[in-house]
Amino acid sequence: MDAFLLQILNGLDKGGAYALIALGLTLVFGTLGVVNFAHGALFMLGAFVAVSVQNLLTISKKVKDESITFFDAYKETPYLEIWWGDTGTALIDYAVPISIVIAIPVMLLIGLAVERGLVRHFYKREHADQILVTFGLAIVLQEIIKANYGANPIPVGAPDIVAGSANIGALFGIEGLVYPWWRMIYLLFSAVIIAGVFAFLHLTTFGMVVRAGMHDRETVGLLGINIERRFTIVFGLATIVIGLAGVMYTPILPPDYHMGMDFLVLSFVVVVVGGMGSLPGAVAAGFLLGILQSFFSMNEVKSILPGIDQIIIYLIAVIILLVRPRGLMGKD
Amino acid sequence: MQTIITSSRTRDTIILALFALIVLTAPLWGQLIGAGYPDLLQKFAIFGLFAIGYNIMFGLTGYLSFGHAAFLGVGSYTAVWSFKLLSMNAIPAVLFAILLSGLFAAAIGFLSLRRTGIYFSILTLAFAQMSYNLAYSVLTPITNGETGLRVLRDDPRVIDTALGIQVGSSPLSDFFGLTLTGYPGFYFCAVMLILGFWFSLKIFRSPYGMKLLAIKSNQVRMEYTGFNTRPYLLSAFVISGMYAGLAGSLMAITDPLAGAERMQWTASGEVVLMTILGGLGTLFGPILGATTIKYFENIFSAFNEQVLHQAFDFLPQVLTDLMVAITSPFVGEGWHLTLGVLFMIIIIFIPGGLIEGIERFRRLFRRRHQPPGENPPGSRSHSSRGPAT
Amino acid sequence: MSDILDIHNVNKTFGGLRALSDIHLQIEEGTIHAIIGPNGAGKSTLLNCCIGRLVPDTGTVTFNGQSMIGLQPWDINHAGMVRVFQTPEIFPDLPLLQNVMIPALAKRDGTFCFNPLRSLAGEKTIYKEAMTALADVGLDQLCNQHAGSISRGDKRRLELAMGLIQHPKLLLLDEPTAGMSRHDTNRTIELLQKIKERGMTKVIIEHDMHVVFSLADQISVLAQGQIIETGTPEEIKNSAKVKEAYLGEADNA
Repeated sequence: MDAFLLQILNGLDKGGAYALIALGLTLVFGTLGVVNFAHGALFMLGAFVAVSVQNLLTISKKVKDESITFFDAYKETPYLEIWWGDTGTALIDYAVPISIVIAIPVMLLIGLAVERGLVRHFYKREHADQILVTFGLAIVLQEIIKANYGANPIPVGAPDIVAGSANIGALFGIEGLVYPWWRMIYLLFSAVIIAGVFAFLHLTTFGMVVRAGMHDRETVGLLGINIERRFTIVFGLATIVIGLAGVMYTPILPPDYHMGMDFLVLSFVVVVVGGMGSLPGAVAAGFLLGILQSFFSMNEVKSILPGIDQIIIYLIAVIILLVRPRGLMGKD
Repeated sequence: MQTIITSSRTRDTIILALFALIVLTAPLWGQLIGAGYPDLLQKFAIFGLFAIGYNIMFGLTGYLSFGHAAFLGVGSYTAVWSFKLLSMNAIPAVLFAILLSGLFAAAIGFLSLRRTGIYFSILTLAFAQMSYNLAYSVLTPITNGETGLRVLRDDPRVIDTALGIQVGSSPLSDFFGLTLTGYPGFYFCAVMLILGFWFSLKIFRSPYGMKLLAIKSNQVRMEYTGFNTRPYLLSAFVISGMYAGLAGSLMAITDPLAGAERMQWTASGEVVLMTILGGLGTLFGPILGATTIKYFENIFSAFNEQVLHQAFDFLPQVLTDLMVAITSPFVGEGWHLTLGVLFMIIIIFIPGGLIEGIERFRRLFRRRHQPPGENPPGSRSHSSRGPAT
Repeated sequence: MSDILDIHNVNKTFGGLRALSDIHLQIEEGTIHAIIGPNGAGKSTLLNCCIGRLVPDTGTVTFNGQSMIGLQPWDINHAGMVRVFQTPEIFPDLPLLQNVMIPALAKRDGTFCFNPLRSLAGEKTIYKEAMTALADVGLDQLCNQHAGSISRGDKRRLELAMGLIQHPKLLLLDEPTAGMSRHDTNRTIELLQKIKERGMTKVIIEHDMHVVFSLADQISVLAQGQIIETGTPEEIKNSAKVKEAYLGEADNA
């Protein structure tokens, strides 16, 4: 039972990530009608914002190590530490939270540039063309990252204060049930972002127009509403969401240039399971698939169905697409 | 543009003969462009076949599949197993690879073709990822996981043993005694490529091919015209899967080894790139695209800053440094960046690929030499993806 | 003469809206039968029920003694009932010639025929047939043009040629002259009269009374999902019911 509970918890934070990624993807598909294969690459860019911030904060110079007295030893010491002492160290420690603040404008700019420069010209082209050109963009983005950051994963740590695990078992009176703090934070974070996006779409006039656009794009266009500008903003919003998802994911998975492609397939699977263009569907499917994946990774399950953990997500996607082609919550 | 109906059989025979001539003399002209060695020429042929086959699905029917790398992988594994169990002869390896990848494609196609458009693409993507993940995990007894499947000296090889054929410590594939390394290996691939091209030409010129194009143009209308489109799509999918399997087996024949990385969906992305770059739905486009990509991959990967410095040496020092700084991210390790940029440019500006580019260039040239007002016959008006020679 | 198409007790509702109610209609073999009615009367719905695009809630559609309900579109086509669409449904990326060859091949090859080694250039009979069909509608000059690039009127005539080449037992024409100029309309009427001798049964859905009265042997009037009158053009002209429901409305407009 403990193991089972733990798997659900593990699945929840994974599900949070899936839901966030799928949310942006389906937002773009639902409003703009664009199949964005560069979405995973944007997730990767978000993660590399965190890497860059960490790199910036830890720009160092060689300082003589005073603790070693019998020969001249030097160690790399970040400027921040030299200037501000403990405050500086604390700043470095909080690289990821700082990245969130920085990622918002950075990702917004990237999103606007991509939409204005590229995606906009593909609204009227076939889905296949959209897939291909954004796939090309994804390659370009990941290669730029590879050229600048190398091919190896770069670890980015969570702040020390949340580095460990929470003994949440104590709450339920279960022995030895621990859950990493950061994963819990990720789960909360994704819940907040998802709630934020939904609030934005349901409580603002802008959001209402966007939702109307998702429902029936042509009619909204006929109403004389400047749809183009709204599309740009929606794309920017989706890019921020995916970027933040990437920033926050870095302590869980050290980012490398290829992570975008890995998450891209997953995010599409989540979106089709939820129903293309359905936001609640994307969120529900994200959590559902996250939990199922954790569940099927249990040794007890794997011993009955070997290899099932490797394919379960795709298997579900295939079944959903064949049996219920509009997904769990898609509209017909 | 040459429409299917007006092209005569004689013309096709000439096309085929010319194609065969170009392929078979590749070692000669390859030398002129610095590609005159079998390893690279082989790659041209193998990826050319892969792209030609892919084009039969995506180019003719318009269904974008991301699953073809899986068929390539199946072809490779089958060929290596044929080497291990039956014989080092390439013929059974090729035949079994085509057969098995065809069956595999039939199964995946049967399910995936229940959906159209983006849903079809995602279904093939999901199947490809499943195959890839399984090849790395549970199927390790068949695929040998990350290490890759290789031919060993003490494999059973029942046919070879029965015929008393001995192999060395690292067995190589052969064609009835002729070891398929170096140029013999290339020529084996070349013959397969010519056969593959011939079949593709036949499809392009057949009523069957025209119906596939019609499905791409308006599938609903096809159904109301009296055609059940599913078997058409499935047969095209299986054929293109067999091409992928053949290409996979040739990879194993020229280098008796098979690894799961060939099955990853991004490997399918590469064949999409080749087809698009050359010219989707055209006869020569895919092979042109495959050759171009593999050729420049070879050249660009070999470039480094030193080579660049030499190349820009004629410029003043400051400019040389500048040019090197600008170009160096695009060469060597950064070749994929060049490829990505090139690919985007093609999709945005010339969706018809290199073939359309050449066509436009020719038209431009012809127009200059023609009295104004006289349009060259068959100027392509609206469709960038129609059939072409 | 026997009835080739028998629509019996067909009902169809969309949500709460009753699109068709208790439709009974017999089409006699060899005639041209027009279905007229105001906008939204259910003409296209009725046609869609015949062709298998919609499944009626109740009732039967029997064509040539065979029930059409639940059949696939290609099976209905091969049974001999062919529809010419209102908005041109053509193959825009193919030349006109191939647009017409494809239905001819459907007639010959059936629902599926795998012949990748056969040469299209060798299909002399099909080629001739297609050229004749194009000449019938006056498009033979354009045979190598892409169908997507021709004018809307030409597209509709191409569509007609695609239907005629299959020599269907029953041709369903959905507003064959809608959106055409007077000149093009007259040419289409001429064409339809010319092929009347071929003995093909036709059902025409039409708005243009000029077309209807110059072609039809029988006319059915559809209003609010019901057939209110069926008869010869003369009978329809003099019917009080029709005047009230349809022609009267036209007078007011």
